[in-house]
Amino acid sequence: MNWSINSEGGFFNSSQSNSWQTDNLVLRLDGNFNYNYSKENISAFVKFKIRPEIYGTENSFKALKMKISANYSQQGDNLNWGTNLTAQKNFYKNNMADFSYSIFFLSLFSDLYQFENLTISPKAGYSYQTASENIELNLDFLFVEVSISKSFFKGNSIGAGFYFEKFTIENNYIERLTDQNNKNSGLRYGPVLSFNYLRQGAFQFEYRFLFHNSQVTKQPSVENWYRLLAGMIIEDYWSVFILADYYDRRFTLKQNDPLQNYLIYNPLDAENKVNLKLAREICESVELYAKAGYFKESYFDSKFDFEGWNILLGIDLSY
Amino acid sequence: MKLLLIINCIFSFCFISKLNSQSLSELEKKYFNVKSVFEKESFRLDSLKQVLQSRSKQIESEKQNQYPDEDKIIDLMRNSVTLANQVSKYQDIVDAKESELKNLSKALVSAYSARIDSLMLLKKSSKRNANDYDSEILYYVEKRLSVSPQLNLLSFNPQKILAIDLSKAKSEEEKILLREYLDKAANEVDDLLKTVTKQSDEAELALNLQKKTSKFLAETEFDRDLGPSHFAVQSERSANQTLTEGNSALDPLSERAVSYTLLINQLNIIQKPESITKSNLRQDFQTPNMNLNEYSKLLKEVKQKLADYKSILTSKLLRSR
Repeated sequence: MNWSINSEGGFFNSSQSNSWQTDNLVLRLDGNFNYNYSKENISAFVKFKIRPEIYGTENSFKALKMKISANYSQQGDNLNWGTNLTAQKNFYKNNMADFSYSIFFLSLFSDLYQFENLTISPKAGYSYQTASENIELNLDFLFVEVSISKSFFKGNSIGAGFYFEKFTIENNYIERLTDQNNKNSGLRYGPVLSFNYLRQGAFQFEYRFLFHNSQVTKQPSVENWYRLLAGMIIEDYWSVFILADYYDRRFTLKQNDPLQNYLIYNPLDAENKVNLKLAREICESVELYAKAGYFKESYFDSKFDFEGWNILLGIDLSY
Repeated sequence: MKLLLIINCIFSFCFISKLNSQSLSELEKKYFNVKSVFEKESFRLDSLKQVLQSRSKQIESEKQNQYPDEDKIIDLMRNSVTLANQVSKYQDIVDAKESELKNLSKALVSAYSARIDSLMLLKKSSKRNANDYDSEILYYVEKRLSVSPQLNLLSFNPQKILAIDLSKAKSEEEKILLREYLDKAANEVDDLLKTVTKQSDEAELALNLQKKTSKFLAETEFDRDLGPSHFAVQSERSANQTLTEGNSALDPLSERAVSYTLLINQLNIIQKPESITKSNLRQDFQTPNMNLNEYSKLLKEVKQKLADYKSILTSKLLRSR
């Protein structure tokens, strides 16, 4: 069993498309509790996480995020496989709005080592997401991904694969207010490329290109997603990390109907962001760190942009 | 029903044992024959290499003379070419025998593993005293260790080196020779310890980096790490891959992990023969695709065992002075 608590606070600045600006303080607390089990070739864990956040001092925006995740995996001679079940609930509140959203995620994953120097990794899963109150948006999807990876030199792994997803979006808000179609279903599919390096430093790059077919979009509609993650440990006690995500979509809508925008697919990993972290390990269980980050997210066919930046100082205690 | 199952297990084991014992004993005979040829040819190859080396030194020394004898140099070089060809020929023979030995060793390891698994199954289902099975299991485990591929880690038999007792040397020459063996063994263990320490530090760094990277991602993406691009899972899997440099049981790093496991077991048996049971022995050398954490723990254990063995050798040498 192990647990960790971290607390961070600092400044943030954010803006929405209606030019509402907030410059203020942010305070976050992270609690994590893990139970790990392993015996021979079986391992399992249960993780529980909770994060309360407060943005601003006047008319503050509060969030409470909770997540529980259970994982089971088995290791064989030529095959490792496992399954993961995760449930998450986020609450958001300020003096104008009060909403929540929930995510349920089930996945099966495996690694096949049947062929010399190649790893074949099939993965499949189901996710259901629902938002409440004024949003009332439900999304569920089934996905399958198969990738092949190979190591070309020490510390490296290069992968290529294919991703396929079938999704359905339902907007109950539209259903309540209009008699228009409130559902959108479709497919997303395309290649995935990855590059990983882990030795003196860590470097990871991933790229996804997806064709997007749905009832509210027409061809060509595509999505691009890039991720860069790098980090290294300096002089044993210092570490520095950077994470950069870029999501770009080019959708052509079938109809020029504003309501159709509320049925557009908004994946969870659609946030464009850059995050930097510089940390100093005080001892095995205590770490001090400074973080800076920028984010920008577009909702509903870029009708609403939400962007901001933050600078935080934090302390992490773990056992 | 349970009794029928037990009887069935016993008869199956007896039948398979008899069937396997013929093939197992044939395999063992073939293994020891090939091993004997390999050791003989390796010894011949080492002797030839030593002669070639001394010939090269002679040539160099003659060349550096104030008045080098050209005829002598040409003669030496002509003989060296013949010698080099012989070295090359025996190298090919030794390489072929080594490869054959490795394949036989793997076949024997599988056969012994099958025998051990059958015994463990019988131990669970039978009402006989568990200790009766333990001694037989341990017998096959030791046999499995004896055909292990750890030949390439230490060039000597650790047990035989520990058995050397300088106080029982019959003459001063014998004492000097035995001390030389112990010195060489201690140096070899020291070199291996340095290599393992370097690998352990590397694995530890990679593991630490992997943990911190996962933590950074988890903090940054608290509620957004769900979905197909579940990077945290991927980063751990790819880390396992990157350190093993491929996933085949044949790749050098995986073989090294297997060899280290067998070395640990071997050193365990030598140091504590009376307290060894099957549970003390590492069993993970059958699954070469170990994760980063397990590999790091394995290296630390190898380091500890080698350090212990080195201190035993060093104290033997100090006592003899």
